[in-house]
Amino acid sequence: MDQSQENTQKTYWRSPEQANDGPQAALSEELAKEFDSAPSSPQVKEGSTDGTDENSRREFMKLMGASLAMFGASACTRRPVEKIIPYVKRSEDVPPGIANWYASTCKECESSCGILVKTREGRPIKFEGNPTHPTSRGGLCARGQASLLNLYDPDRLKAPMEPGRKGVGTGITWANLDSKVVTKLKAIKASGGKVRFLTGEVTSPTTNKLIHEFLAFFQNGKQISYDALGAEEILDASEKSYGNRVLPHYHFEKADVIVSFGADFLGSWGAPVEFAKDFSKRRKLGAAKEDGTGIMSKLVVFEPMLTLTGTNADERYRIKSGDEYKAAMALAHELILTQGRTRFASNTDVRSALLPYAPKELSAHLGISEETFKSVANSLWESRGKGLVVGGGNIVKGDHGFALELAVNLLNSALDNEGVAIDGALNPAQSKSSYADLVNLIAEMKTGAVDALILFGTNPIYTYPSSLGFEEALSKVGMVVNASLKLDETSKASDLVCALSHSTETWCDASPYLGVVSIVQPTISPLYETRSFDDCLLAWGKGLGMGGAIASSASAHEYLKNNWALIQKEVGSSAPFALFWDQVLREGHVDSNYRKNKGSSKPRTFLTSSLNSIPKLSWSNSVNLVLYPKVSLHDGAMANNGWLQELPDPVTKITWDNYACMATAYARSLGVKEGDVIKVKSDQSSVEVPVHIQPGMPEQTIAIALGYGRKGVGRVGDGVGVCVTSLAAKGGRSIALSSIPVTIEKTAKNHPLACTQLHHSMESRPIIKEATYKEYTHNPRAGNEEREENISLWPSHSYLGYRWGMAIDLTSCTGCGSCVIGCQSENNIPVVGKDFVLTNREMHWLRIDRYYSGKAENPETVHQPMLCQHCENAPCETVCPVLATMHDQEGVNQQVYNRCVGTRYCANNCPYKVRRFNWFTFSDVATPMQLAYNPDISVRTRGVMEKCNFCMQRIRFAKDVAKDRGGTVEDGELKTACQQSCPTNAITFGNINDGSAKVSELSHDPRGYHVLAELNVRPSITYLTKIRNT
Amino acid sequence: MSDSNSTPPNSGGKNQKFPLIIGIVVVLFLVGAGVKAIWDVGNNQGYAPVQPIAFSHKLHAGQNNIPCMYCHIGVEKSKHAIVPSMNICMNCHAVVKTDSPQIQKLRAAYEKGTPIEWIKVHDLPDHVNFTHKRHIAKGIACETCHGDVKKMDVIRQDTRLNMGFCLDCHRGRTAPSFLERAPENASKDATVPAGGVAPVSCYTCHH
Repeated sequence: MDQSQENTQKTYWRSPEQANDGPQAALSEELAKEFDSAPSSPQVKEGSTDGTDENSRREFMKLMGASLAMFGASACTRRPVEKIIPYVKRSEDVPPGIANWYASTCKECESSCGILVKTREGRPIKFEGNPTHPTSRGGLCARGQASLLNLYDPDRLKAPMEPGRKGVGTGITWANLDSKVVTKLKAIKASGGKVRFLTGEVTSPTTNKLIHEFLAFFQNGKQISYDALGAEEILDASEKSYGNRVLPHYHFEKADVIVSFGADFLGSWGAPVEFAKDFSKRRKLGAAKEDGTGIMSKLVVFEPMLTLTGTNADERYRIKSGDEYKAAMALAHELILTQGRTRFASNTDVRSALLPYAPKELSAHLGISEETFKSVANSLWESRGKGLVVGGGNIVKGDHGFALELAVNLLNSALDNEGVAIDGALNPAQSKSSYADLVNLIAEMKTGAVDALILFGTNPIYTYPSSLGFEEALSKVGMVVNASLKLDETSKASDLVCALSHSTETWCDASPYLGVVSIVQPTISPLYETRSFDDCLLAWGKGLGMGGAIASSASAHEYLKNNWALIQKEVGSSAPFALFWDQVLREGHVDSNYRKNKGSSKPRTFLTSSLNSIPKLSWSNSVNLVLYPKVSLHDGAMANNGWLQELPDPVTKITWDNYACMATAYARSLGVKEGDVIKVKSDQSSVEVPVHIQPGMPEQTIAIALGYGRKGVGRVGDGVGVCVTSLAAKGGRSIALSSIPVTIEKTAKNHPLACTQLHHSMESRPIIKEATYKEYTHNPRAGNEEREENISLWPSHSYLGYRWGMAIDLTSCTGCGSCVIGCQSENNIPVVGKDFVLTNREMHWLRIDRYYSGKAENPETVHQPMLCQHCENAPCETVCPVLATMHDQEGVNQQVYNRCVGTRYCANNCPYKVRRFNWFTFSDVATPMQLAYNPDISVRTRGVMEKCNFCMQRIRFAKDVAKDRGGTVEDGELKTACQQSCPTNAITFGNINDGSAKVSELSHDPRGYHVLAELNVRPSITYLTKIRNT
Repeated sequence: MSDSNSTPPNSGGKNQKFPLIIGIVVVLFLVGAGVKAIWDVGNNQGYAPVQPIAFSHKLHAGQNNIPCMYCHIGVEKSKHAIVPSMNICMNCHAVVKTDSPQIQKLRAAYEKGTPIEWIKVHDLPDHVNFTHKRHIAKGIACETCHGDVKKMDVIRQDTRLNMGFCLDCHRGRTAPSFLERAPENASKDATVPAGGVAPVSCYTCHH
């Protein structure tokens, strides 16, 4: 009880300026800005329709006067003539007005989540997770959902190009390109020269087979695959420790205790959707069950920067970049040497390796107390066989990452977690990546020995640091052909560029795990003169006179189908192929052994000699840099995607930029403030980036995001942020993207960062309620004892039929931002650009507020999705002079665009600040981007207010279906866009009037509370308290 | 004199009042015309533009008695009734009336693959989400909104199709008598007002 009182008294703060030790002046300045409604950005002039043209106020009045005069005349004229253009020959399967859904696969990362593509009149308009897919199970991350916009990217390559390494594109026809490639390859074949493929991780078994077959034609052909953000260290360490070079699979749902050393498994590492699904299974509170659900797992994180996973940790410790493996070894020392536990306790290899890492000596250097190691070791030991240690990933890349993986393998094997929560047999199919191969290739290229280099799914000039010498080596290659969607950095340095089709325009497949193969099927004809990579290879193969399946397949589609006939045998289906194929197209995937075999693998034997590869213990005083991939942009391939650029970073809440995150104390010692530009210098090069003061950063570490500063990606992404790959060094085992020693210089410049967080001041009211797991098990109402029952002067509403409501579980929500993009895609929400975000005019209907509590050095974090609360006593409704916002009989707060005159009284009166105003016609986007609009939702114009409408179009659709069968909408039948996309099922929506509905159960949960309940606005959204397992 | 005294300057008075009355009438007329003009903004009732092909509903639906849904196939399934795709025209006109210049125009376009650009007659504003499907499912006749199409040589907007037109029916005032009226305070669908036949909540059509 005492503790819970302490909790309710916890002071929350939103940014370092607001924490007690921050500069108060900066805070008041920022807060003042929140209420600054003047168009302070110089680019924005009144009367302009797009915020860029130069109409003055006087001109605006003149135009208004003229249009009023025209109004009298218009009474005698008609509305503009609109036309109906029917199909010439309509396919029976394209009924206008009715959506078609196709099962396909997301191709944006290796985790290959199953998706459903919603198409209207033949246009893909939304990607949703496929609920039947064995790995992603209905979830889809922000990037996956936003990849729809790449299809309609106006800056895509529209035809093949012949840049001739001159940096500019000149068009070329496919026939011309094919003949050039074929002529050159013929000559190479005749002379026995070298043909090399450099690819990213190719997850498609069919493309892999085709590449293999294509290369087999040449005497000296080889495929090298490497991804700068790949899993090199894990693969190498796995080879060393267990003798098999595989990427293990992790079962977060089987772990009672999870210890992560820098592995951002909920954000940017591995398969975040699948991991979040599994992880959240054990973060749901309720009755304990056999499979462990209902018993909350505990997450302990040691990390060199505040990641999304770190914000969800129950216990979090800061570690300087480069010291992660030392902490892991110290933990192993505590467990094996000090406590003498596990079967390695008497192993001499292990003992000698661990000897130098005594926590007693290390704790001062690491800044982590001995007690911490003791308690973590204890809880890992108590849950041995039911725990999981993960490490490495994208923010521990480099040789120290390899050492960390060895330590992690030791811990997992010692604790018998190997073979339970870690599965070394069910390896993802895409573990071919090899840094050694890449280094060899570059050496080979430098000698001029490579006659043809074909690139696919990779952008080495941008993603590799210049110290690797790739650009220089490229100039010595006989012929460079790049297959890409963009005239990007690497394309410009190539001889020929194959314009690739988007994944919704082609046939392909993907295999995220052994036995799971997922289909990619086209849902629209290619918009431009583009081809798939498979099509290119087939065309060249035929031109070269290759035999086998290449000769016998007329198209990539046929080649794929032939390969799927083999896949059918592999997965053990005995149905006729036509039936099997129909089933694959309908369901989107086949799964022969994934779910069946999940977690039944044998533990691998740990080779203790592998610990010899751990470097000698040494300390440095340098400031270390981490280059990390953001949840939104990742490696920058999607930098031209406005949705992702404007998606606030889940942790920093900054849009449209990358920046150097640093600790408050370090920033103060440097004398820099938020937005001050600093010069970061490494051995390799130097860049200038703005500063972001980030709580939870270790003192001697700074972190900058990759994926920015692109060139040639398009009008949205070009020149946004700074390219920082040049700071990285080539490492021994992978590109060293972290633990880069740097020096920092101040500059006189300032670069404002468009942050969405300080806009939404909650004025320290109890918006978040939280309790610990222990308190919760004693009293489910812990942290939520105070319940206000206020009297209302308004007559209460009666809801006879449906009453729509929502429940959001703050314990499950990881803050990943997937719902924000889902909402944006469903509801035609415009992108406004950095200048407007700076003036607080972003348009997201759903935002995720992130609050810090506790100490600024290492705060606790909580994420809270905030959207229209659909209040019963809605303050917005009472102030609207034109009744444009009204309460309906089903509990929905309606916003009627055609009535709205734009007084903005409602937004001023909304205590949740969820209403968004169209200051300009943000929705007026260029062709072909408006093809991504959802036709069931009005596209809003300048001067109207908008906000969450509980996905009314989805409610209407569900009602329509229910009425067709003569019933009512049943629970679970209807999902809002945010709910659908959530990888952790944190959002529940439904009919509160239905007593058996999940949402009505949750809204009466002891953990349920309403935000700002004291205002008595009676929201329809119930939040469930945040429970931490501390 | 007394006569002249007893008669006030009538003629003069008449002369003065006459322009006043005329003025009032003119002003009233102008105000009325103005109000009417404003009232009629966006009113397309009676709109019957010349279409690229002189298609006659009178001939097809009237004389030949072809059911509406033979061509407007979406009306039961979709929000859109659908102006038929040209292959539906060609179902018959591959053999019927092939010598007519209008049909030849149709055939030429069909063979070339260029669709006919029909001029939209029943044009609801873009912020209205009207769905044909639910109205047909309730048994509303096409004529209720579209008028007696069977008699129209050139398709014409017969009703006002403004919000009042929709609401009059939804509230039950002009609704066909076979539709069930919601009793006072006991509607299954709470968005249907007492005595009404269909929801009148804003989000029913505007979202």
